[in-house]
Amino acid sequence: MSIELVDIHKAFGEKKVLQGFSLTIASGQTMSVIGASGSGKSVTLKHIIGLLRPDAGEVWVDGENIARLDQASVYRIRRKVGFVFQFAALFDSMTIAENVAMGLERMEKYSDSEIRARVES
Amino acid sequence: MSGPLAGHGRDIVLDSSMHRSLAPVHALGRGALRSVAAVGRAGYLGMDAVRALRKVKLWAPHVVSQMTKVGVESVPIALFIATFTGVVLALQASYTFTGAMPLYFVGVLVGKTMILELGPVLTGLALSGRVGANIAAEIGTMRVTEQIDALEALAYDPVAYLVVPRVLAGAIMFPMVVILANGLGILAGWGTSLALLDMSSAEFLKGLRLFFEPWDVQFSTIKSISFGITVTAVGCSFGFHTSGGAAGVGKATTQAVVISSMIILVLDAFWAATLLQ
Repeated sequence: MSIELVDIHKAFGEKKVLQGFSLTIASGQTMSVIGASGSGKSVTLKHIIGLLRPDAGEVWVDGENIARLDQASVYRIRRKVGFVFQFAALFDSMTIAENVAMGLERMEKYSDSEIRARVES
Repeated sequence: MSGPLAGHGRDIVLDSSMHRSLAPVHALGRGALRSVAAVGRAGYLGMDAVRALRKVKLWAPHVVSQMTKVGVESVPIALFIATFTGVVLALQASYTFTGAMPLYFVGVLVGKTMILELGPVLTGLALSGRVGANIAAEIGTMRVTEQIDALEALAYDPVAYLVVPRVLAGAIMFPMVVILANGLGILAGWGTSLALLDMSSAEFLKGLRLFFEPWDVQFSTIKSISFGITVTAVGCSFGFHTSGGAAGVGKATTQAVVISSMIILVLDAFWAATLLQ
């Protein structure tokens, strides 16, 4: 999966978080992003999976500009991405097994019995 | 303290006393903008919820559990309120009518008032506190702990997953709870009439039947469906747009209860004006 952010601008009210930020990650490449708290690391990652849309700029994931895709297409791309949030490691209203099963259910390539077997293994 | 404002090609400098005098206007403007923004966000969420109805696989498995939380678990508080409302209605009717009108009018007042007004409205207000607050706090906590973002990252539509089952449960279960409350309120009024007002069952039932119209029950049901949608939708909207950590969740919860209670009272007047004319 290739990722390219081109001249991204993002502000929340008066606070400008990203101002002309660009980044290219080739397919197969591993990259770490580090920075001070509030510097925009999470905002950048959320742009890559389409949780946030840039005020200006383009976000290309596997050759598609995710900022301009409809919801169904964004969901199709998200199914290919793993993402761990800072706080929401688990859905606290569910059991551990339900948490594990949830991601597998959404991949839509396992039957219920296969999901159960994988969760219990 | 002073501050420049651009105006007609030159700067206008406000002194501190002008700043102070304009502060209420600024606050009013900010409040109005926030209110308009909240209405706009709720409107967008409503449209998303209508679109999300197509995603039956996402919302259908959660409707029954939400019906239990919204409806079945609300029955005790609704019945508690209805019981004492029925008792008070009977006693106040007797106090008002004694010496002026036949006592069987106690049955008229208890029946009409419970079904048309107090059953749906008091139940709606009580459930706005219990159900609306619960929904706003639950979804608000999910928002500030990024659980809703996590749902989206897993390609789950959070509106279909969280909002649709709750609003459907409210629309289905509120009328059922209200019908139970109406019935128990009338029974409580009947029991009070027998025990404390020296009335017979025949007298009470004569009054109950005297002006009863089946339409009254339909009116009560229509009102309670609208209240159910209001309480759950407002709770979802405030929860969904929560920000600011634990304090934000508390604020969203309070706002959900206050706003849904106000809308219930406005809807109450609206239905009376449109359906009882």
